[in-house]
Amino acid sequence: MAKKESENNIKVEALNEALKIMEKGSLIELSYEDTGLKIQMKKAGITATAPAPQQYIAAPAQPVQKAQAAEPEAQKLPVDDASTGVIKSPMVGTYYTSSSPDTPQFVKVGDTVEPGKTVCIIEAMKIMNEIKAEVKGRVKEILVENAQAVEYNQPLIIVEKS
Amino acid sequence: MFKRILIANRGEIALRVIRACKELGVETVAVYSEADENSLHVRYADHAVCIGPPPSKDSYLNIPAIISAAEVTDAEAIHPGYGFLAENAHFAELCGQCNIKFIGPSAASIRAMGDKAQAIATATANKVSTVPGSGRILKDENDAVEIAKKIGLPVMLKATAGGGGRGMRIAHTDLSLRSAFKTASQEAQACFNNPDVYLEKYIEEPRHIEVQLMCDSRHGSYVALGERDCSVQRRHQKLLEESPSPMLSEKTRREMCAMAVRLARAVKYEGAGTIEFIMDRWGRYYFMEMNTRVQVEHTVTEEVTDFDIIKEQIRIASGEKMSIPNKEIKMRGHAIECRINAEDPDNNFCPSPGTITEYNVPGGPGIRVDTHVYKGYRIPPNYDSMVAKLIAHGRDRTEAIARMKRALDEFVIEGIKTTIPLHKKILENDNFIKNNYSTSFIEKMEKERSL
Repeated sequence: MAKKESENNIKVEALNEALKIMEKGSLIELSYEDTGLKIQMKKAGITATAPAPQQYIAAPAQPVQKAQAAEPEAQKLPVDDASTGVIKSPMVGTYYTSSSPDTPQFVKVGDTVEPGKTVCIIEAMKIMNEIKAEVKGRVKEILVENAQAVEYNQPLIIVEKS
Repeated sequence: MFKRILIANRGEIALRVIRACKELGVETVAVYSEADENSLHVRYADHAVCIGPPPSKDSYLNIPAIISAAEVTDAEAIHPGYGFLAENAHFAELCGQCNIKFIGPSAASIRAMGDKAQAIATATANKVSTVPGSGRILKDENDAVEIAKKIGLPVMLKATAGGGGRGMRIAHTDLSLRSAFKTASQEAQACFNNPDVYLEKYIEEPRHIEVQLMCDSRHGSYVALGERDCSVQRRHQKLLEESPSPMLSEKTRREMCAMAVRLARAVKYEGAGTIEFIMDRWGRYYFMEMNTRVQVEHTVTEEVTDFDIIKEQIRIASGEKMSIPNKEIKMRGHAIECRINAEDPDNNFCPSPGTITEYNVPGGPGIRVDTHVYKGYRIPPNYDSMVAKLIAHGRDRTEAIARMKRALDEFVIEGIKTTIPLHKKILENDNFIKNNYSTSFIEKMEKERSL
């Protein structure tokens, strides 16, 4: 009797540990099977499917096309229109906000830009490429971080046209 | 073994490489143009990087973009697939300079065997038979006639600066050779500003037979994985391939494989490669060229040898020993591949891009389908028209043909035109079944149809 009780205690302890891991981390489903005991735990609100291939460069404004798990709606890509200009990366590389670690940023939110003004650097194969604005306006949002990897056509900076 | 590989390609071959990587426990990085956003290889890979707009020159041929993508994703190696940059020696070199392993032969090998004249010279130096010819520019028509006497008529005159069939003439007699020499030289002068022509034996009704090589030069192992017969071609594009070649005796097979291995060893070739031979109707064969990459039809060899060519490529490149033993490889049964293209066979094979509205893939014993398309997929107009590779394997050629016919009937692709009807006709053709065909087979079949 006591043996069975202590056995059960061990199982309950193990399950509590598993629950903690589930709550904290990315574990969404857990199956446990033993003689006389079978437990299945699923995290609420998430459809567990095969691991979705994640886009390596996780820019916040990218359309989430490849994730099969339930992402409620695809995130909207910023678009060019009458009032907004989007500066996109013309190449694959690494985004830098300034020309070197100790020089100031090319642009900050709120700064004005005009055609020809350097807004950032994209480094590709050890070559630093200066990216220039093509519209006139005010920097509304910077979508990427310093030293972030970017891909072709990835939106970098949103400009409110003036 | 590599931790992460970037696949510098698209479509079915990109998917093929990703599958091999998954089996080896290697992470994958897909690169894609904007036209391939919804492509299957992008979805299957662990990471994906958009490298440019649809045109190939701005994306899949864009060397800086591809190398940059490998750098930002920390890919240790690049698999180039076939086509695109697979045989670009400059790209292979650049990878090395950027500390990225190019999964394929060295830049030097690509250059040595990619240069046709140099490849032929290497072949001759290694006692590999090449197409008999003048080996130099002809001085005049008398020179032509004398050399033709030595190598035997019929002969073909070719412009040294030529291409696209210009400055080429076939001559079956001395008299026609004399006039052909004049007209070929004149045409060469007009088209290429260079009247020089040389001479080669004209191989009538040739068969195209190639030997698959797997070379682990680091461990001194060079193996021939049998041969493939790729004679069913239309306008020099392969439509159907089979292995083993129904043309070859065991003796000829051994000879050709030994020649291929000798050539690979001579240039210390690394990785997968193919030696192409041209065979005349009397069974005489000659070295044509070497393909320094994995090929579309590698699948056929995989089916008859049970080796995974892509995995072996990756193993060799990572410094591991390949799992193919260094001995004579026996082929098991018979395999046939049909290349299913998005083309209209009733309209001069006009490309047929568009959205696939119905897609049902054949199955059952001995059937393999390598494809990157799916129902709802929109075939972009920017790239080649191959939709799927359908491979049938059987215990013998009869069973392989029967399985392929069954599979072609099962294969449903709607929304686009495909070459499936043409393949059905090929497999029902008496000459094909009786193994009585050469590279002129499709042409003859089309003529018969129009009668």
